[in-house]
Amino acid sequence: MDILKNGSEQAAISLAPIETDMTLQEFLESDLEGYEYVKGKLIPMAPPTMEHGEISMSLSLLLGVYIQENQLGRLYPADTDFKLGDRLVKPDIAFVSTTRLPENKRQASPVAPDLAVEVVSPSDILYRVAEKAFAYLDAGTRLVWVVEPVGKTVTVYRSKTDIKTLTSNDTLSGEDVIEGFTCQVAELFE
Amino acid sequence: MNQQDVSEVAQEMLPHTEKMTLQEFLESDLEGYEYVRGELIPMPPTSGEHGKISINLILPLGVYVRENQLGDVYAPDTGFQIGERVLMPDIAFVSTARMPEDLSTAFAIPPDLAVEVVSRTDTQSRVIEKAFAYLSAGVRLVWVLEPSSKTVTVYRSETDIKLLTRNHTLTGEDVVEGFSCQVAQLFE
Repeated sequence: MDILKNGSEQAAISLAPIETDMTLQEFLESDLEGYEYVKGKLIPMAPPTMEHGEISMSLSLLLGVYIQENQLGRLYPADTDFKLGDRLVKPDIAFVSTTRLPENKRQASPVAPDLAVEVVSPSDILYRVAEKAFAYLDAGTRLVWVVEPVGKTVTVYRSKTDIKTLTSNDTLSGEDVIEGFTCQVAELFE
Repeated sequence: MNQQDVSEVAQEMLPHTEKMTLQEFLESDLEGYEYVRGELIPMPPTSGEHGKISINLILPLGVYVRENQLGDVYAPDTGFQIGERVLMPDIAFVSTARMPEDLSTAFAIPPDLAVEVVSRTDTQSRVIEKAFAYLSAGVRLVWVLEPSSKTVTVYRSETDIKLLTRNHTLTGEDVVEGFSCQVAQLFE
């Protein structure tokens, strides 16, 4: 609780979005780092904590090994840019299936990932997290996982009306997006 | 609410540093704060959207509970002692059997049902943490209404959490027996 208060609420101030008259294209050509871009606003990324890193790494390892062994596509770490309509986002983990991989990889991905994973930081505003999950879905992402460390839950979005919350007793599955992949939710928070 | 307002609110939300015991807080005439283990957490003014959603649920829930004489529904700002905290759920239901005799102070017991409507400044971690605090204090049912995705998360325990979308029906389960309403209706 003390961490939450000293971390999150102070961070909530500095993490307020910044209005800009930059277009998405200008943002992409700029050398600004540490921001996402949403309709004329720069959204500062939450400072990554150790907990955040551990969870991202645990899930990346499990997913990465499975995807490579089964040659399903590519897995991208945090800080990889994806264009979602008029937004530029940096999912904590993203998967793009082989058939959807763009040819030119020396740019932000013009395609939405098949799977986007967001690991919630203590300073992440719930409103914005839910909004971002819907933005992925609107852009064609088929599966969104929001991993929340305090409650040890994973919220699974398939559509705006197909959303499930998994708890530490449940199994997370790749469904028809990363077919055959499963892991225990509890494993992610160990 | 524009962005500047949001950050001004966020500044005002910074917890005060002075320590008070739970008892001192309960005996004080401080208003507009929640109390969490020695810290005062100011409650920012809520938005029009927040108020509208609260009323959309208070009305049908309140009417149902009165008609069926199940207990009482409490409006925002009612204080409840939740373990080492004093929290003010946006809506709360206390069943007749558990109703304390003295209503002149903050409730010393947790509600049977606690409802939180998510604000634009709430962090996801704080919302879940609060839901779990209600459960550990003995609240049997927690509903978290999230306006941007039009969802209700239903907590029964730390491992029994369901997420309802606008196609679903919200029910009072065995806590407000027989009550139901459409999730979509709450966000209209």
